Amino acid sequence: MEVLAIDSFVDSPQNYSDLIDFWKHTFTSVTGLDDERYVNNTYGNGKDILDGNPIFTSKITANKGLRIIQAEPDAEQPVLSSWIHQTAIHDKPFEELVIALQLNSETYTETIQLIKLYFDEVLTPKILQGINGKYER
Amino acid sequence: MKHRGRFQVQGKNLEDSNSWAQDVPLLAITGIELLNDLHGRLRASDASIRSKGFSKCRRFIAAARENGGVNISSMGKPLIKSFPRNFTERLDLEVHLGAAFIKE
Repeated sequence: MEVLAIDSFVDSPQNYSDLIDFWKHTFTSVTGLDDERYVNNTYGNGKDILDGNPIFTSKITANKGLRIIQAEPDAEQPVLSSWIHQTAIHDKPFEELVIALQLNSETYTETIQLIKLYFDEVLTPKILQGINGKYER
Repeated sequence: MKHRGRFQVQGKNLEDSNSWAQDVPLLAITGIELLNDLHGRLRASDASIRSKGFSKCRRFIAAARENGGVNISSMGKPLIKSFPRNFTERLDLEVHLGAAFIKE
């Protein structure tokens, strides 16, 4: 899979829509699942929040999901950070793999790897630490 | 309670939060106060490394205020935002139910 070369997307509806499609395609290619969004990213007036936070979410099982946060290129922000977050959906415990990234071919490859490992339930804290360690500032 | 959510900071040696659970929508100004209170409670080093994240969160609340806040219905999806400094140090915002960040 090739990375989508879009750097500027905040408040650019067409670029934003293309990126959402790109992440949907990536998720389905890696997991074989159709995406099922579990996070709301709209304002009270119905307007979409085009901030990349998150750019994509999908349930993997009823109590497990993936959340991807994409930032435009910014030297002061993490290029890739990933963690496991425990939250709740409708008052039921819910675990998510969160990946915050600036998209390039390297971070895209790492993201695919993380999704695969998490989907296969073999993502360990040590592996996560190893991938994060490459991008630690 | 009809309106629930929280701001939470997480880190290697840190976990703290300010949450709300109330019968009336959370005003944007109250949200900013809860956020500022949490920021002010952190040790200087923890506050400093999250300063950009706190700023982004404040800007989000201000933008929400101008766009009808955020509104999560009873069976709706929550709003979850993270403002990471790195993979361990971050600020999270979660709105689980009801209206938040509305105009006064």
